[in-house]
Amino acid sequence: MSTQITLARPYAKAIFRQAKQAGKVDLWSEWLAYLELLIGHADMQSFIQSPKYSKQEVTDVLTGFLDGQVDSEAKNLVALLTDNKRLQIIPDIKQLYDQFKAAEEGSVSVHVTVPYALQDQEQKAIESALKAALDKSVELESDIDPSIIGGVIIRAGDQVIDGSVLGNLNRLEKIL
Amino acid sequence: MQLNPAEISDIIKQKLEGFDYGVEQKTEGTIVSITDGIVRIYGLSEVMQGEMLEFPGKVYGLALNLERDSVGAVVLGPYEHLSEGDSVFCTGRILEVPVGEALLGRVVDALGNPLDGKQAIETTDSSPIEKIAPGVISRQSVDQPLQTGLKSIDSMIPVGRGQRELIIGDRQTGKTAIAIDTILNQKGTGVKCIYVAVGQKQSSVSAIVRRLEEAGAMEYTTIVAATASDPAALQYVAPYAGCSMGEYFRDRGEDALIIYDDLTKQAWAYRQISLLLRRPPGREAYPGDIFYVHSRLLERAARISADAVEKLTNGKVKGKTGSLTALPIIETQGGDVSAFVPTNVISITDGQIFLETDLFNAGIRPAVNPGLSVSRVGGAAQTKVIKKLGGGVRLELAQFRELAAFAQFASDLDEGTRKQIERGQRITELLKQPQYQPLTVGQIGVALFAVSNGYLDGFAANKAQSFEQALLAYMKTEHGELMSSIDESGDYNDDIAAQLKVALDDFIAKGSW
Repeated sequence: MSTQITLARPYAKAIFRQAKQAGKVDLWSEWLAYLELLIGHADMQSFIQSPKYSKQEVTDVLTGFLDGQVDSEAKNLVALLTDNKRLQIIPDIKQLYDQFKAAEEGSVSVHVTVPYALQDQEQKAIESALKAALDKSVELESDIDPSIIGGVIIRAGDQVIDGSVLGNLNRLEKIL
Repeated sequence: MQLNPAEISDIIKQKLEGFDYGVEQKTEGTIVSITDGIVRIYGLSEVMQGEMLEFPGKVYGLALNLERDSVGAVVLGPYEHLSEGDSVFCTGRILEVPVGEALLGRVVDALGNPLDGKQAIETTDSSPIEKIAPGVISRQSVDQPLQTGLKSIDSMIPVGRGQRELIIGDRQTGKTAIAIDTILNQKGTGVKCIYVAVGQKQSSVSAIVRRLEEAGAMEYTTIVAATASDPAALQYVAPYAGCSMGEYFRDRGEDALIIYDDLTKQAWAYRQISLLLRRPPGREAYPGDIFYVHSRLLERAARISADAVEKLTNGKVKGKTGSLTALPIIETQGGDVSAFVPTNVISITDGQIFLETDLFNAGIRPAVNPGLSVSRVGGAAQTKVIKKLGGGVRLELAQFRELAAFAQFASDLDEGTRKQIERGQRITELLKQPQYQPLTVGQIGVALFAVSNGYLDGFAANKAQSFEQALLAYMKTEHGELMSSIDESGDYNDDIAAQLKVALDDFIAKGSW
């Protein structure tokens, strides 16, 4: 995982810079999502990994799929990745690209774990509190986990704010 | 220990009252890979070098490698239950161990947890395991002796309080024996001892514990054990943990002695960790910072001035200097002192006691090689009586070795040479000493007085030991006052010399041995 991300970083950086220059930041985001989907398919995986096909053949097949979906720059990327045998890092490129995009837009995706479904009012309260705390626009994602009993766990990147009853119980267990 | 239920509920109540219910903010990471106690973690963007990390199951780790996309850490404890995808949290703390008087008489692991099955260690003080050594300003030169109770060491290679004296030698040459004898000899001197066992067999450690208990030496001793079965991370950390426990006494104006047994195994443990962390290997596959591992540890052994102690204790302790004396042990392979780690540690310490297999097998125990052993600062700290009487011993022994090698070829020797060889043989015999029988300053002084004034010249060299035993017994019964006055003051003057002469003449005349 970590080594893949290191490999993906220069690609993601280059793509993002190119996208920004051409004003296609959102488009590229869609293209990368499409590429990730395409590469992730089981048949496609076995085709890419098969030693029977040359790099040229792989590129041809892939660009065939991309016709009409993406522009020539994205096709060039696929050709480059095939040539460098780096098609497998497309998901990491996508992840990093999204991070760069979020950083550029000043938004942060926040994951909230709650014991029951949030009402609109509560969601808005959390959102505005986080917006004030992080000084960024917030994209809230929530999931429901009754095992945390009460309270809320907020995750933004690798920061965790644990205000759940379960978290407090765990801490209590540690000091006793 | 018996606890009644009311006490238990009181303790729980106290802890509950102290519990701060609320929101906890922390930095999270995910385990990416785990191999041989080395964990790679993704995330943890705010982690610090050397920070403690919290793994599931109350296991802690140490962040050692901060890389661009991952953090390399060692697990301090069992790691079989950890797996890829587990969450890891930063604690914001540097690794700490409990310190204080409560640790005396205890056997603890590298993190300060008791191993001896006794009650929990009741101390509120704790100290980070890595601390910066005292600077030049707060130090004072070494001028108080730390008696090992061994004739050969106290007379030829004296150790002072605050000194770092390396004990080096092959396996089975009596390195640990010297260390244990030194601990035994600290009884009643107020010197607190810490014995750090790194990578030893558990049976060896428990034998040492039993020996110290039998001699009543555990009262002032702490044993920090990271045995061969413990993870490499704990073996690496143990000397630093022990050092922090010793520094507690040093910084409070007391004297402490720490023994690292042995640093070779700590270097191996660190090499293992470094290689698993994929740090580039250097000479003998050790990482580039192996020198720093030992230098930053041994630099913490120091004598600090009364002013520094006053500052460190916020004025509570005045007019007392503190010291931490270190006796690191290094095991050589086939007497090779020019290997990587031995040369490093020799260059860091203030001298070395070099033990030799040949001498050991020839029955010369402690098997100290007087030619290669030195003490660079201990001379200033040597007790007066031993310094005066033992001053010539080292030189005479060195000359004897030279002559003895030469005399093997010559059939007839001149009178002077023969005398010198005989004197050398007697000194060699007299410096032999059984294990676990450290001698007082007075006893060493009398033995040295006897040999340097030629009292042994009339007897066969192999009688030297029984002569010494009888002499010491005689001095104890007939001249107890003189002995205890030498023990206390350590002085030597014409008056004492005259008294010793009378006593020895009397002893020889009686021929009671």
